Amino acid sequence: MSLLKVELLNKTFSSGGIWGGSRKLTHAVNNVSFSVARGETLAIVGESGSGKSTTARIVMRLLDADSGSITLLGEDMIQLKGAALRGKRKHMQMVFQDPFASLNPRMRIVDSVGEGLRVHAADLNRQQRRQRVAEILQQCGMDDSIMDRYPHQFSGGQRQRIGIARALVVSPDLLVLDEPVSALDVSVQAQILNLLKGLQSKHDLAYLFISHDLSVVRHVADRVAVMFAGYIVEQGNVEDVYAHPRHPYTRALLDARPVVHPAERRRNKDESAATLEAVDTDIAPAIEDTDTDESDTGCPYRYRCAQAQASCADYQVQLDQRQPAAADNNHAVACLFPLAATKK
Amino acid sequence: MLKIEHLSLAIATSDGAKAAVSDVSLTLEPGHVLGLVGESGCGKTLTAQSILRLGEHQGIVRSGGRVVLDEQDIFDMDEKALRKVRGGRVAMIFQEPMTALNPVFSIGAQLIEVIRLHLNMTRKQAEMRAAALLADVGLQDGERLLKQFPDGLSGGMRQRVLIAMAMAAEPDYIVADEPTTALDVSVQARIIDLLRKLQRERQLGMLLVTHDFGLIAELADEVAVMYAGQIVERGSVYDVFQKPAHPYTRALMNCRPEMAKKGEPLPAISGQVPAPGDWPDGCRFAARCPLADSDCTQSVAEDAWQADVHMARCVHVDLAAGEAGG
Repeated sequence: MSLLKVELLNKTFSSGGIWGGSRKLTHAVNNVSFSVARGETLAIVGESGSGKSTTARIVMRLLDADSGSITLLGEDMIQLKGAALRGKRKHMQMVFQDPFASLNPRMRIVDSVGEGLRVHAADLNRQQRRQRVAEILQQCGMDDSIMDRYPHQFSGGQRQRIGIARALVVSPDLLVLDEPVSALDVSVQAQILNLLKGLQSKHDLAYLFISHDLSVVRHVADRVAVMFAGYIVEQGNVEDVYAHPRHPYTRALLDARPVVHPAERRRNKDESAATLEAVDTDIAPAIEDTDTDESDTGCPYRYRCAQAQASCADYQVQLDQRQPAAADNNHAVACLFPLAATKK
Repeated sequence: MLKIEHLSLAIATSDGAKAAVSDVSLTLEPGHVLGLVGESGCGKTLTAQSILRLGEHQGIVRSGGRVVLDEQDIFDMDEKALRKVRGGRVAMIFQEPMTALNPVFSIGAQLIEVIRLHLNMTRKQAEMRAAALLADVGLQDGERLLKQFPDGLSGGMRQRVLIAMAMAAEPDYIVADEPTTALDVSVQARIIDLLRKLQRERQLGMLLVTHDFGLIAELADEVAVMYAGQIVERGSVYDVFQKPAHPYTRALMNCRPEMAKKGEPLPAISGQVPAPGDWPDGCRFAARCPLADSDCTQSVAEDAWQADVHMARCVHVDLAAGEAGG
């Protein structure tokens, strides 16, 4: 069964409303549901403001959801508080994007990496903790001689290895990785992606991998959820979604990727894809309403969608496994007029 | 033509000057896009900024070579002449659309300032030109936009405003440093389209500085690859993509996830880029190169490179084969 199950998460942020201004509600996460099995990678892909990082932070309980449930290893995480929550945190750990900001500059590596052990393995003495840290650093490709050094002495890639070691030291079941390679150069990115892959099979880890990078997602993920304006608009096996996108947004996003070879410059041609026209995100993708929530309904992508029809304004966005694409009944799309399964 | 000739740059640090760029030569021609690609710390941004002498207040000093515009060395110009070149003949587009605009001035004020600095216009004329420029970069309702402040604009819109600013004085050359890196993928695609359109219509000579081979594949005519302060390969974009001749270029292209087979490890480059000042004699990539042997302690001079020919700084490369493949 699935290790992590998330059902109907909702989160709304409010802003403004002081000094007589009208209060604005931003629906950052809307009815988001997904599950992650042991040893599996689910990627959440989306652009800025899509709600992917908010979702990750809610799963980690760094933010409280307005409603919904999070079940980890059969236990409802939302109800847990205080010591009980701390105990459960051992099972899920987070790796952050910025390896420069996520390590305390005044702590030695051994203390940073070993910090989680003080809570989750309190019976270890200092020497045993050191030993455990050395072991995990080695698994992350770092020599144990670095333990008494400070973060500033390391490059971005090395710091990200240290950040991964810090998450792994308490032997979690699930890693939530928020843009873990976005700040890295491509050659370093490759090293870190390989490391993550190796660690995953060694420890049978589940990854919730948050990224804006479609190529990285394709490489690392088993399944992918595409987020737009707080909704998951499409979800399925990564090969299937990339080869046969059903949601117009997914399709537009995939088409917007730069080419890999100059000979493919499609936008040299006049037919500069109508789908591209439709993806002008100069309209902020987050849906903002005033206090009256009535305009909350309808497909949030309809303003930018080439396929949009009048009925899209009344559509209750919901992932639907209708007409599964060939041989894959996990492919779901939230669209009234999904693209034909054979397209592309 | 705008020429960088044998340019070397050094960074002043508390332990003396450290070499950051060595012996780089590049030529920008009107109507052409030259891509300068490399990883962080390779010296690509310093090279680009040196065209307008932008690094000087950060302690970047020229240790050799020159940057020549209309037969005049930019490093010999006085402040007044330099101001005319900056934004006038050569404009710059930076990576960070969020920080490159001043938050306390309206879009109009900032755009009009640039226009009036370079063109002899009245306020009224400048205002009209500003609105027209915004239309050129795909921003509708320019009159209203001119009154807005940067915080009301999305990243994509800000980048368009900055591109409009760069175009304000009709420059001949554009230096674009990671112009799409901070943007979402769909906005990126639109900015790429805009840059291509403006570059073609105005026959701009563009230096496109990026870490992203995708952007190079979309826009560049020619490409130069930098590693540890040197250009290690140069050629037409087709030749370099078809048959990368330097082992570093090849490795860098192959470790992109879009090139990899699903389920197989990415062919990562082992080791790390040597820091400025720690460059070895001979080939600077040798320590990380699968082809390296004792011959690699000799350095390959760029002087022998011919213009318009696909060349690589590697003793083990058979350039003839590289070209046949291209």
